[in-house]
Amino acid sequence: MTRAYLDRLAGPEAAGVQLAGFDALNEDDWFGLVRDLAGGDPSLYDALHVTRGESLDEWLAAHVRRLGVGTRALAGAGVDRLLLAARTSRSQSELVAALEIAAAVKATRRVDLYHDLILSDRFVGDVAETAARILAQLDPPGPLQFWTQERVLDRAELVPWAAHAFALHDPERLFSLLIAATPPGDPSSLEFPFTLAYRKLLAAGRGEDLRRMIAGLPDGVRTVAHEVAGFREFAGARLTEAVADLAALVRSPRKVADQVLLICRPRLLNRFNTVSTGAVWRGRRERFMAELTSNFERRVEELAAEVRQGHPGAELRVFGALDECFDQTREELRKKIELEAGETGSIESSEG
Amino acid sequence: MGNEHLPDEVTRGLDAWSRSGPLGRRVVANLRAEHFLTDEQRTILLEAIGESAQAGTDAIAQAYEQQCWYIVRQPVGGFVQQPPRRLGRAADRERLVAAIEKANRITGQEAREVVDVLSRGEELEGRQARYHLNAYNAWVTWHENDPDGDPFVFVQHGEPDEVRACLGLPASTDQMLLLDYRRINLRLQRPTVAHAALHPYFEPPMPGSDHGWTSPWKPDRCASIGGSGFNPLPRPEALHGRARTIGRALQVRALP
Repeated sequence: MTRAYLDRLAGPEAAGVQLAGFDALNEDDWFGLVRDLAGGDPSLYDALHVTRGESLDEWLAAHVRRLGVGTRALAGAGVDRLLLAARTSRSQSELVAALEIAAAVKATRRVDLYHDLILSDRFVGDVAETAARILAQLDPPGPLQFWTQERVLDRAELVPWAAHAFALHDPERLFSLLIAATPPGDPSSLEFPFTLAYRKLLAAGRGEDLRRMIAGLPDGVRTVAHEVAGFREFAGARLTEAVADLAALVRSPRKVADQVLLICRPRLLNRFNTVSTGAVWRGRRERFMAELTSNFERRVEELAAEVRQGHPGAELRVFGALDECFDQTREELRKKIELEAGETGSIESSEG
Repeated sequence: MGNEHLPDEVTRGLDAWSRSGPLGRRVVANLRAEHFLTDEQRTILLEAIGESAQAGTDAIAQAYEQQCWYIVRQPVGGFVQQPPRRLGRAADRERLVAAIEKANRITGQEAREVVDVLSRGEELEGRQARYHLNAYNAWVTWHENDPDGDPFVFVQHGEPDEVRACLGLPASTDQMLLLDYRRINLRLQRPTVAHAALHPYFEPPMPGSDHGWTSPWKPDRCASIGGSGFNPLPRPEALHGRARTIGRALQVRALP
């Protein structure tokens, strides 16, 4: 096998690697390149201007991202040959190295190869997970039915990648998929799939259905789904909905208050953790949130009454009301805690 | 390593590698000038060269590089005793995306969005706020006179190649990002030949140095930077292990 790819890629030091050089590679060249990268050929660090502390697969990923679809497809064909050779050799280390390269390229003509790597019990766990991560990112995707098999959904480590594939290509079915699946060990691994799905569903005007879809999810997964809905990107739209509900009086004030608190909960907790340090607040976060909820519900009742009386724009004061309630609740609770501590003599120190 | 007696096969390997081309010459010269590896670490590298000497210089380079990766899995070279509080790291955009994708085993799309959010000066939310910025050791620089000063104070023309030239990074047409962050819970390691491995732009720190200095491009390579006559100067440098984004007051500036 020649190293003809070097003639096209390894330009003068002053110019670095030119992207046009990749377009001149044929499938054999790509196979040679990815084979040598996977094998860790040391001459490539200098010849391809790999930067300090960068691995060869990172170097490849950084360049492949900037190539056109046709060139990436040829790269994928080269990687397919590398993976087939590694699978035939039955060497786990060769296979792992080949998959690292495949993860940099994210293109294939052999989706079946990835299916085999994910489902076969001949390989170590890392192989299946890495193959799933690559498969989930393919564009165009392989058949989505692959991800709905029990053999996939029963394996918690594969579920985030199944979720990613559905979030990209069929976001509505993501929710039923997650109801049927084994919850991932770390449910926060679903944050990005939820982010992708919300974007698509909101763009399609399905925001109202989203509440129903989230409500059916298993507990830990549902918590993550709610937290993502509170992210900056989505909170604005959902808060606008809540304000519209309040203005139109289509929902009870208490439900509107709960909705706003749910959306804002991650940010409220973050603010509480930032400003409420010291022994006075230790272990009292949930008590604070309960009292804040109660105060805010009362305040939204008052705003709803103003709306009923025809005060224009009263509903818009809901955001300011939440900030006021936060400060007010904090002050009231601090006094209560100090009073209780004074009675029992148990106060440790003042607020930090 | 200067005048010490080395086994014959090590000497043969060093001589052959040194004669094989500019990179071999540079790596061998650096290895001879290295002061901050332990005897055991240096022996590991020399043995790798000696054991592969008969198989040719490509084999020497491969064995040497593998042992470098092995050694730097632990802190090497000693810690910087007077570290700055503010650090700078320069990276091409796509290289940073690739590093974040690999370090966190996430999708390329998510890694790209993380970099986009940081570039806009916004805060990351949820688990992204806890992501690592690098899969391996990260090379950083800083303001040599002010521990809280701008680590990129040396950038006068605002050109990516100006940064690459001073920090000894490879040429590229990609957008350059300058990461500026607080050194919280990060210990800086003095760079060694083991960290540089086969990278040509490196010079080991002098004996008694608290940290390293970058090995800039030669002036004749800098003709297009800042009009003309640009003379890149070395910058302070060190490394730190994997760092999370959270709580670092991280700012990312893009150069065109």
